[in-house]
Amino acid sequence: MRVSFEWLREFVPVDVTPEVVADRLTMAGLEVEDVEAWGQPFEQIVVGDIADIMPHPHSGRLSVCRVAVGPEVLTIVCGAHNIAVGDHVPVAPVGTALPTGQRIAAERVAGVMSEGMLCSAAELGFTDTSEGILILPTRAKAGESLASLLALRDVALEVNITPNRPDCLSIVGIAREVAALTGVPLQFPPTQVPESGEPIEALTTVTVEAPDVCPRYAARLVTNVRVEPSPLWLQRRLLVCGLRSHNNVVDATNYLLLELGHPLHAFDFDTLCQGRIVVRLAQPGETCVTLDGLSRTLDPSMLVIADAERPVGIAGVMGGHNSEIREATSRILLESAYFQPQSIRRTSKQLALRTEASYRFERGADFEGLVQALDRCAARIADLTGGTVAAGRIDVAARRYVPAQVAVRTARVNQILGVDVTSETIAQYCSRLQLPVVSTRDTQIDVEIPSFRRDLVQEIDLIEEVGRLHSYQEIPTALPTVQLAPVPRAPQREAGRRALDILLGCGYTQVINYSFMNEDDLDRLQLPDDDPLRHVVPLRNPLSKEAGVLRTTLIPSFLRTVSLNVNRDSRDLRLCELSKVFRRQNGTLPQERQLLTLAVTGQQGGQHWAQPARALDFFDLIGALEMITERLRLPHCRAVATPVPYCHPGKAALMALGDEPIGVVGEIHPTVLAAFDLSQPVTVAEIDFDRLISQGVHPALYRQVPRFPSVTRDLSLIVDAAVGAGQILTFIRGFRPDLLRTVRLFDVYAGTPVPSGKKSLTFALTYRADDRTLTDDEVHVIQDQVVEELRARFGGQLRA
Amino acid sequence: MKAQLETWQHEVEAALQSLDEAKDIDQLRVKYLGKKGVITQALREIGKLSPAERPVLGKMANAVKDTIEGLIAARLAAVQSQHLAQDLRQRAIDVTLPGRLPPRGYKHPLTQVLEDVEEIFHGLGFSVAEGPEVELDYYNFEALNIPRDHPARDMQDTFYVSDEVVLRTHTSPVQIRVMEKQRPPIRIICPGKVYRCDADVRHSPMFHQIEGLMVDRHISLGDLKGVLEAFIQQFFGPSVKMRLRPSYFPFTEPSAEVDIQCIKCHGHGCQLCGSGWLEILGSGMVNPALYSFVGYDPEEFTGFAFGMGAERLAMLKYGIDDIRLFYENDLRFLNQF
Repeated sequence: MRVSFEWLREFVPVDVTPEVVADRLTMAGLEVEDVEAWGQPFEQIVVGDIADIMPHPHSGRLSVCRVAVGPEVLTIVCGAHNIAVGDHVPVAPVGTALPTGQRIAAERVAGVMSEGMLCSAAELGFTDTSEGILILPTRAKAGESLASLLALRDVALEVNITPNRPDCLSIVGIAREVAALTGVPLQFPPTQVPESGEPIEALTTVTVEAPDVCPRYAARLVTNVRVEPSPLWLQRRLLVCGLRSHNNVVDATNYLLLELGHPLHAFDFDTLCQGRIVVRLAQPGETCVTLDGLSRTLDPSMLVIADAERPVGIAGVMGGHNSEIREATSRILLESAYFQPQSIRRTSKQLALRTEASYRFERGADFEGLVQALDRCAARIADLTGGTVAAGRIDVAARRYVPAQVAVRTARVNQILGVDVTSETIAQYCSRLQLPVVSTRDTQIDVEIPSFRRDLVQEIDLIEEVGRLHSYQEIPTALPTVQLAPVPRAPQREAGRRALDILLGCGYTQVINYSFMNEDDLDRLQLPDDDPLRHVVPLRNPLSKEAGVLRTTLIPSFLRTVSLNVNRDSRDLRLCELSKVFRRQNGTLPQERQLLTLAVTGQQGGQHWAQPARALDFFDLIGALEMITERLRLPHCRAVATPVPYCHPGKAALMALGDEPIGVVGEIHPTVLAAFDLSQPVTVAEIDFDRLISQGVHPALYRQVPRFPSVTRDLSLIVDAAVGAGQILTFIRGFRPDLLRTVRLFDVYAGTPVPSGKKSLTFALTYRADDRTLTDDEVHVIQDQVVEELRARFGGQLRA
Repeated sequence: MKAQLETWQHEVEAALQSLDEAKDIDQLRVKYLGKKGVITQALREIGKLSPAERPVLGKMANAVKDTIEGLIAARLAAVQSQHLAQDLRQRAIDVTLPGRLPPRGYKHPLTQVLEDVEEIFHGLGFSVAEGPEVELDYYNFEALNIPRDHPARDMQDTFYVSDEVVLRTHTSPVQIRVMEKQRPPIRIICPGKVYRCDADVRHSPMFHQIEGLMVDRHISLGDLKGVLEAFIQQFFGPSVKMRLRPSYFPFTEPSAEVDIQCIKCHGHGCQLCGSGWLEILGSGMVNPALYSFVGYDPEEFTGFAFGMGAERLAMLKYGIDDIRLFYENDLRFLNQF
């Protein structure tokens, strides 16, 4: 809501600066976002006295004017024809910036140097369109600034009104607040309507067929109006508040919209079939061309204002083109109504048509105040147009406003706010807010809620009002007194945090990608049609197709992140993210799981005197996962060679926890890389973190430090290339865990002299007993048994 | 013989001065003190001397032998230490070479902020609660006193999955879910991702919120001020001032926006803040209407709630001016933190 400070002072004549008022409003919950000196351009635009008009030497359309602006006389080329010698007109000299943003420069127009511009109302920003130059009153003195002549200096306050305060969407509403906050009394003169002639009932009728949606509809009739431009003072007030001027009738309704916050509508009475109004629900498929020229198709959930035959407006949203005020209009039916907020909101949303009127109606109009708005508007129109207001008004009301009484308990106020005020103080605050106090006792006061404050329903609403007036700054700061209790940490969250810290220590940088995904990325990943990753959750109103569904995997995001960084010359990357994915499932809400996603690309080290480069690959990710399971003491995950649609067929594995697959590790397939504009190899891992930690993070448990020495024996084995080293390791680890304590694979070799199709694996086996020093013989026996078993199970031959 | 002994001693003294190698010194030792060395032989000769001469010359010969042994040992030690020193000198390194760095990863600035905030509130007795990111309209709006067709829905641009299902627009639904399951006292904070369909320099369709809820007996707006002040001073610094402004949120009443004194200009007004104050969070007393959804008696329990954006905190803390940087994942951005 933009508020003209000059207008505001008409109702509450404060003598402090706009900045002080802005601060008081802000600290009372009406946040003033901007205090703007209005009308700066009008300081430069001056009154010019046309001394001479000559035809342009080279153009029949143009004329060359000599215009006096004080002692100086300017030569100005002009295309308008409504000017005459002696007229006083607005002149924008060279260097002026017009309110429209246009900057005036000295330039040749068809060969004649023009030293400025004569302005029309539109060029001054007063109206959308205008014909000819604006002719100023003759009392205007040449050289005087327009700002001074038309009292255009003002300050606009941009106030952010929260949805609960529709009453403050008006100058008078803000004035009420300023009065309550400053103690300066509110001045609101009574409305006098100069009625004459035939009573309205003799001229028209209003039938309300949908009283649920339109519980009150009031109307007045103004005849003999002369539709013409509004006086400048009124145009200025509208402009400061951000509205353009149209004509005196429409401006009058907009003026009241701003002044009292109540939207009114003026119909050209003579366009109404049978000269009457019917308020009804739209018929299926009925259309209405609204004032913006668009044809709207309506449905029976929408309320229309109709005449005897057709809609002439969409109630509370926008008037109809067919009953619009025109220059020839002479009789006006003026509407002031209360529409059910939810209905207006639905209609406005459905039609995607938000207007100043719908904005206010959907927040709740003033049920009682609409009559005053109607009277003031009728009087204003009569005054501006020279029209006559027919006697009386129509007021069809399905119900009456009965003010609610709300009890406010002093103890409750003090408890909620943490203050110590008396019931007298509370009553005082209410009175300052124009809330009638019906009774005051020590323990409680009773307040009557006026129709303009429909946001006040319960005691708590009034407690908030007391807090606002008391000022939040005055509330003593305290710390709650509570019972001590342990503050548990969520184990899952802790595990995630620790996993992240471990990865950071391993050189992985944490990224955060959007939860959205482009569904086409699943095709880029070459996923089959029945892949569970295709069970996406689509959004109804995505920002773009690229973010059209919720992700089921982070891999596309990671590939894009890698691509972005590689294109920006960061080619060596280790990335990680722990975030949720979403999968469609039976039931209302999708399945949400936390995935740990990793990616590596490029190399480690390199370009360093002591750290040679090596490629980052599959085993970096396996190692990182091992690091997490080991440090968090989680069960070990096994890699099981398995084809993965988006991975290199020979460099991909499912990660299994026991027999349950919980993720994948693999190098991205070259064609998938290409689909994401990547050429350097990228390896990814994606693990279901919730399942990884499902068996709980185990605390450390002490085992006795070995008291007897250990013995290490190497074992070189030649096996088929297809045999997984991991299986052999797992076997050896489980063979005699009481004595054969650790096994490390320290060499993998293929090539001469190892026969082709075979590979050599060299293990270091460490033996130790807890209760004695093992003898060579004991070790020998076990080692022989291991070799024998490996031969039998894996076809392994000892390497000579 | 006496003269001879003295001569030998002088010879050894002189010879040692020019010897720099251990093996040469050893040869000298053998020559004088070895089994066939001249001194050894001289000592053998002493036995053949007259009883009168024997003690005198014997003593003298032994003294010369000890002296020579000492001289040789000293020279040997000196030479060895010289050699060691030289050897170590040759192995000197250039200490100004850059060090070997273990691979370094960076924690996302938002995670750092979230962890900081969580830690502060953990210290104040708040535990973490989490909930689904795809949420029922009921929890995201209705149970928070935002019915359908209510203008307050305009305060948040919502992503819809269906009529009943939305991407949560705040983490407040977690508060309802917790209150449904648990009786007061309640002290929780709810960190997590939230979604609103809005995207520009200041708005991201996904961002992170941290909300807090405290419900107990006798909790007042003054307590809210105290808890928030404690948080702000720990997060932004002990001298940072705070102010509460009345505002409107459907789920709290009274409601307040919380501003801190601008951390850049200290309240004088600058490009960042304009007025000297920075809006950082929304808060208020839990609207009693919410208690009816979770079955609490509003006369028995009161409480407060607050919520803030992690992005906003991070932008202020690190001076970041474009929210999109958080989600672009440019390493040149991430490795600044």
